[in-house]
Amino acid sequence: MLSDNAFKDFLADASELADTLEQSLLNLDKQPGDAELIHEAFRCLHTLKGDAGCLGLTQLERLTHAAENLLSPLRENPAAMETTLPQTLLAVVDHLRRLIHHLSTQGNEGEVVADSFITALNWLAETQEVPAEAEPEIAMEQVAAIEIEPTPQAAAPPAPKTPATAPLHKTQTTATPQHPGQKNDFVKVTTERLDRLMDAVGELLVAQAMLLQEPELRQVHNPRLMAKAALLGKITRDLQEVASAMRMVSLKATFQKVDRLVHDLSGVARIPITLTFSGEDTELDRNVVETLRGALVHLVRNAVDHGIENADQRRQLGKPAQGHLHLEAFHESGKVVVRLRDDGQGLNAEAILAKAQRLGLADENATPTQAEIFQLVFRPGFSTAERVSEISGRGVGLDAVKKSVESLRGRVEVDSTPGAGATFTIRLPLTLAIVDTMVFRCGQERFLMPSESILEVLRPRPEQHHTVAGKGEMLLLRGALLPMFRLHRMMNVVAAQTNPTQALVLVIEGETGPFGLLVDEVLDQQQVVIKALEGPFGHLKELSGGAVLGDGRVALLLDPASLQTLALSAQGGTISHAC
Amino acid sequence: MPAETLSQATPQTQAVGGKHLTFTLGQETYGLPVLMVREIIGLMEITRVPRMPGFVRGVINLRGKVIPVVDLRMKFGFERIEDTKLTCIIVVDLHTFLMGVVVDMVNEVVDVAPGDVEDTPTFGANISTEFIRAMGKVKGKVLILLDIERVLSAGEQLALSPLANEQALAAKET
Repeated sequence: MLSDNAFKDFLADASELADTLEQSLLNLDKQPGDAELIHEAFRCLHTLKGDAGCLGLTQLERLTHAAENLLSPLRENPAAMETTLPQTLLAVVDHLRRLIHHLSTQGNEGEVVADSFITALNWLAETQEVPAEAEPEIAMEQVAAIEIEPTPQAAAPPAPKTPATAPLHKTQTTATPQHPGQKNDFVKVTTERLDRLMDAVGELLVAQAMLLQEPELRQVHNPRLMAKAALLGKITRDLQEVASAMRMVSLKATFQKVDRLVHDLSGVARIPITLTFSGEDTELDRNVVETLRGALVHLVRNAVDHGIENADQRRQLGKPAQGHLHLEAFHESGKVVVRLRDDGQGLNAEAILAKAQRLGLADENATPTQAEIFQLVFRPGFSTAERVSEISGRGVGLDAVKKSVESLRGRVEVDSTPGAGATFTIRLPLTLAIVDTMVFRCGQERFLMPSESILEVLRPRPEQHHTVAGKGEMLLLRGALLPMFRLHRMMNVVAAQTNPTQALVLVIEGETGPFGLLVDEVLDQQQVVIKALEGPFGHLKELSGGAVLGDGRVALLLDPASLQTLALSAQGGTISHAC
Repeated sequence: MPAETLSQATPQTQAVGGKHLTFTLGQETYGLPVLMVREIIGLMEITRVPRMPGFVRGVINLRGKVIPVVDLRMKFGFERIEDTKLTCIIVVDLHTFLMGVVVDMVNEVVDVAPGDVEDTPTFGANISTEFIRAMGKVKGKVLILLDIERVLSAGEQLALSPLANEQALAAKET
C-alpha cells in the first residue's frame, strides 16, 4: 500500500495534470485541430491512466482510457477533430476533479464516475455520435461545471435534453503560449514548510532588531562591531525578501479558472462572450489568491447576468455580437490592481438609487454623487435584478466581494458609463503579512495603524476644539468639522493624556468619512509583520492583528473602519459630517 | 482493600486519570493533563487587549505567534497579588490555538491512578464547579483536575457583555 506522502504527491500531480489538460482543451476550443494541443491533452490523460493503473484506481483508469480513445485517432489526423470534442473532454476534466476531491477527502474513489458516462464516451469514440440516452449525462456536465469546486453529482440540477452545441465562447489571450523548451526548474515544497520558514525568518528579524537596539550595544563605540551589526541587518533583510518572494504566486491559474468560468457561463446564459486578459504573470501572496478568486467569480457572474446584453439587444444597440470581458492585473504604487471590464449595459444610477431608497439603504432626501450611488451596489441585500436567475440575482454577490476584498485589507470600487459597460477595480496590498504602520502611544500602551489610513497628525489649538451636547467632540480644521474620538476611552487605557491641546490627534480615513483620534504621542513609523491574534478575539473587529516590535513585545494593530464603528456606537449614534 | 470499592467515581471520571502537571494557586493545587501542556515559560510582559473580561490578561509573543494569556486567579475570583519570581505561564494546546495560563507556581508531574479520581462534590449554588473535571488524590493531598477548555469558552460569552467592560475598567482603576 502506498505511503501517505506518496499518495499526497500523486493527488497533487493529478490535480496539476487536470489543470494542464483543461488549459489544453480550452485552447483547443479556439484552435481546433491543433496537433500540439491534441498531443498535450493526450499526454496528460495517458500519464493519469498510468498512475491510476499503478494505484489500482479503476474508475480513474476507465475514465482516462475512454477519454484517450477519443483523442488517439486525432494524433495521426488532427484535422478530423469534431468541434464539440473539447466540450466533451472538459466534462471529463470535471469528473477527474471530483474523483481527486473524493480521493483526497475519503481516501477512495466512491461512486463518482457513473457507468453511463463512460459508456457515452466509448460510444462517441466508436461512432462519433452521442447516443440519445447519454445526452443528458453530457449536458448535465455543462451545468455542473459552472461550480468551480467539485460538487457531488446529486447536487447538479437536471438539464434539458440538448446535444452539445457549437462553442459560444472564444478566448484570446495576449500571453504567449508555452514553448516546450522553456522549462523552469521547480521544486515542490509543502506549504507547511514554507510557512515555518516564513515564521522563522520573521523571528530572526525580531531577534536581530532586539539585539541591535540593545542600549548597551549602542553605547559601545566600536566601528568594526557596528559594521558587523550592519552586515547582519542587511543579510537578514535580504533573507526576508527572498522568503516573502517564495510566498508569491502568479495569477495565471486564477485567470485560467476565470477563463473556464466564462466559457461555461456563456453557454448557460446563451450569450456569446469573448474574454481577453493581460497581466496574468502578476504575482501576489499565496494567501490572497484564494480569496481573490472567489471575488472574481462573483464579479464575472455579475457581469454575465446583469451586464452583458443578449445578442438581439446588442445588435439593436449597434454593439458587436460578442460580449466582451477584459480582465487585467498589474502592480501600481505598491499594490496589486485587478480590474474586470465589461461592455454591457453598465450601471443605471437612477435605478440603483431608487432601489436603495426602497430598501432603506439611502435617505429619500439625500443627493449623493454618482460615485456614491455606484458604491451602493456593494451593500448587503442589494440587487436590481428583477428575478433570481440560475447565475445570480440573490443580492449576495457584490456584498460578499466587498467583504472578502476588505478582509485582505483591499478596496473594491466600480465605475460605469451607462450603456457602455462597467469596470470593477480591486486594489490589494502586495502581501498581507507586512504593513507600513505608524506606532503611537496611549498611556503606557502602544498601538499601530496602517500609515496609509492616516491623513495627518496635529496638536489642536484650544480654539479648534469644540464639544457637542456635552458629549461629542469635534475639531474645526480648515473650515471643516471633524469628529474626534478618545482612544483611551475606547480602549480603557489609564494614565493617558486627556487634554487634546497637550496630546496629538491622528486624522484618520474612516469608512464614512475622516475622523480624529486622540493619542498621547507618535513613536515611530515602521514596517511590521502582522500576526493574527489567535484565540477568543474574533469579536474585536477593531483589532486587525498583532505585531512584534523591536523589543519583542506585542503591539495591537487597529483597523480604522471598525474603530470608527466602535466609536460611533459607543456614542450612541451617528454624528453627521458638516461640509 | 481493592481501590474500586473505595472510589466514588463514574467510569467517565475515572478515565480522567493519568499524568498531570500540577501547579499552585493560593493554597490550592490544580492539575492539567500533561498531553495538553506545550511548555512552561517565565512571566513576560503581556500586552493588554481591551474590551475583554478581566481574567484575559492580554497577548504575548511566543516565537512569532501572538497567543492569549489568561489569569486563573482572576478567573476564579481570588484576590489579586503581585507577580513573584515563581509566577509563570503554562502554555496549553487548545487545538485551534495555544493559550498561556498564569499561575503562582508550577510543581511537578504526577500520575493520578484511575482509582484515585473522584467526582467533584457539589458545594451549592454559589460555587460554580464547571471548570473542574474531577478531583484527584495524590500522596494524601487533594488535586483539582482542571477542564481548561471550559475556562475560556465561558469567558467568550462574558466578553460579549457590556458588563465585562465596566468590570475591567473598575479593576484597572483600583
